[in-house]
Amino acid sequence: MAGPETPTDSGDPTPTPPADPDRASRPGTPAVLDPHAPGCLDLEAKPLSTLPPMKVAVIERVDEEHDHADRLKALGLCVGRKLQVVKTGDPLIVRVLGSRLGLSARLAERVFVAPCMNSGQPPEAGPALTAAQTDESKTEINPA
Amino acid sequence: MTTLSLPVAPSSRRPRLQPGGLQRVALVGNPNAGKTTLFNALTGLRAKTSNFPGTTVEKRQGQLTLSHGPVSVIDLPGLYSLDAATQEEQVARDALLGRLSDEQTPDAAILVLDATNLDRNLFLASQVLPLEVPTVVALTMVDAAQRGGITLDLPKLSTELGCPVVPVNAPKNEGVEALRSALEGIVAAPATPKITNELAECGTCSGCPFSARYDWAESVGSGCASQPGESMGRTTERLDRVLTHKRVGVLLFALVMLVVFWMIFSIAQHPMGWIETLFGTVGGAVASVMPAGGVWDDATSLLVDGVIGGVGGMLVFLPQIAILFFFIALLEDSGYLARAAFVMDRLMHRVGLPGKSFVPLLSAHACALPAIMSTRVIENKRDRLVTILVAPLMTCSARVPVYALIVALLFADRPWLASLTFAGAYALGVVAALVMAVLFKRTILRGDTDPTVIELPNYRWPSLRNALSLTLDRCWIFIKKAGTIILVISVVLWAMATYPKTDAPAEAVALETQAAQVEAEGNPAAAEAMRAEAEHLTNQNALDHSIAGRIGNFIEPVFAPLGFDERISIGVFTSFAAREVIVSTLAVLYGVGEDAAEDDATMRETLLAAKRDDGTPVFTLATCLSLLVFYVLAMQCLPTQAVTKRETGSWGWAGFQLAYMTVLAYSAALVTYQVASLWA
Repeated sequence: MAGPETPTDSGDPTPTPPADPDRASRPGTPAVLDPHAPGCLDLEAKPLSTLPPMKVAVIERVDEEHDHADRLKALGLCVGRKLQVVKTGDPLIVRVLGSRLGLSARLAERVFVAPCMNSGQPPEAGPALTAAQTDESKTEINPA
Repeated sequence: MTTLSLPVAPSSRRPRLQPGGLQRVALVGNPNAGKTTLFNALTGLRAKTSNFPGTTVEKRQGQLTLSHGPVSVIDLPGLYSLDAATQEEQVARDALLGRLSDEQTPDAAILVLDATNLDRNLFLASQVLPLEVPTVVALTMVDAAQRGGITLDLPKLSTELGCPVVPVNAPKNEGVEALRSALEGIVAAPATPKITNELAECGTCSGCPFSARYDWAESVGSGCASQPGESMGRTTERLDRVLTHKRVGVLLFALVMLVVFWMIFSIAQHPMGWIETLFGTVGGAVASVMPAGGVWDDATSLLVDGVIGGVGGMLVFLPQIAILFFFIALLEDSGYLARAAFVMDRLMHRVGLPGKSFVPLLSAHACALPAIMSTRVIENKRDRLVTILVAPLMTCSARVPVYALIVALLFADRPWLASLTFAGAYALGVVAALVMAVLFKRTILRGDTDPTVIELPNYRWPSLRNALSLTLDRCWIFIKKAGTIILVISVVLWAMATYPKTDAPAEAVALETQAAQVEAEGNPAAAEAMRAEAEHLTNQNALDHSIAGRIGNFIEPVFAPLGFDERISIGVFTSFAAREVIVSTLAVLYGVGEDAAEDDATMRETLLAAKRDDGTPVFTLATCLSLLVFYVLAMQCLPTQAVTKRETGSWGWAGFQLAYMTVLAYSAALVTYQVASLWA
């Protein structure tokens, strides 16, 4: 059942998720953008509910009380994840971690995201600003 | 290569598994990962369903044969994480950690991962693997992944996870054999999970950022599976553009449910008819075989009317339960039910309920029993409870004969008014349910409705085997749990309607003598009519003097303000367990005869002619309306109570449901009667 060797990173020493331009340019799938790459993210985080369709963004923070936050996190809406809005409205649909989630606007208002400036494009040079930098847990995935 | 090096901290809390010592395997995985299909493929259709002790979380258990003997397979609830945020997660976690009783502790786990959705599924893996339960990964939907252009590197995935990975295609039974040998393999040489310490600690505090886990899941996922091609999920996207549309989606959902309902009503009536005929025939056969006279008459009556009638009255619900669950299972398996909840979400939030409450509430229009049993999809306990409490207010099919009788009494010759009244009764049920839902959410079950977060899985062809297995399951639960209680109460009600016995009234005796004379004069038809009349009088008299009749007479003052006479009051009492019984009780009490209850015209004329002691008609407009309102809103259904008890885990909520519905029905009928009397 094993497929051929994956074209990605076998033997690649970089442990961070690869910023594969091939993936990023594909419509319909959230572009895999390295949150550490410079120039990818908008300076200002805004609520997920205000994001236009097909926009890719990185989650910066979730202002939700305890139990709802847990439900969001369990489904992948958690700091540092990339998502893409598939359908706006209430409830809206986002794509995160490879699957689609229906999300009521009330929750989407509390999820703050940093939109990628060039959604669907490979990251470009620019001011280094990421949501992930403020998140301590990110340090774990730095090259060891 | 290792994507993320996470230190392993081996700790042997568990005794090492001995060869041949494998007795219980737990199946764990995300919802929609194909867990149920795999469970059915592993165990066949012989699963037992029960609740985890002390919870309302469902546990399915089946058997799998390995070389050393049978192994019990426990299907844990489908979950996204093990953070103990919900009762399901708590139970699954406790089961895997061996915190439940010994009979519940699995020796090994099968972790079900969906190959088309590896990143998300691996998140759960990051929590399950550190628990150090010997684990085999079953990779499902491999064919779908390959069709979608995903290439999988299984040896690498196996290395990354530190446990055997077996691709399975459960619907075709492929890979099931390999999964068995893999299970035997881990018994011999338990693999060490590669991730532990850090992630494991992360799982113990729910406030801890999940990021590390997701980073791990994503990097393992992208390392072991290529990105899908463009075609992947395209069908789903196209379908969703229509099916999740704000208006079109709601419209299409209404259409889908309409078809399902049409199926229920058109298909179910045949088996329901068969069941009724069968039990009628069996009852008749038993009655003819039993010896007559004295105690034997009582025994015959107990067997025929109490036991056989009671069992028949319970089983007659089965076709509706089965058909409704079959279709719900198909819709759920296909992925459509998640969309239905999605499009109904905004509308349902107005009454404080989540979108997932919609299907149960709609199903309640066929029968409250499957509706209440299907509320398990609602995660939030309060929302689920409110849905259970209000579901029986919806007009179920058992109310239809009662409505039909009353509407016929009111407007038999004015079809438009009759249809309007019928529709009005349905509307009253819906409005009452929604109002009560709002009320409960603002008072005793106060709390915000959980805002919806729902995974919209890719559409796929539903599995007939899964649907059948679920349907069988639900039917068994109903028969086992509700059936016994219903049977007991049926016998009790039978006894109350039968004892104490009274002699035939003088008129009946006189009629019998007369009938014998007329027959001797050569007029058997007239004699037959007289005998029937005599029997009506006897039955009427017997019921009137039985415990049920006396209770009815006793509580008559309570129902007098509603416009009910003592006979209707007896009917309210005898129909306590099953509302449709009021029709046959009224038939007996007003001397129509039970058989004539089927014959609308006779029944209608007799009831309309019925007079109170003071000579005024019983069934005035006000009384009819009041009776209708009462039967729209009153509980009057024992099976529902039994199912509410099972689903809420307490008689308290069942009692509360009965109490509030009775108070509601009484007050509304009171207002109706008083207002209508003023006008008339």
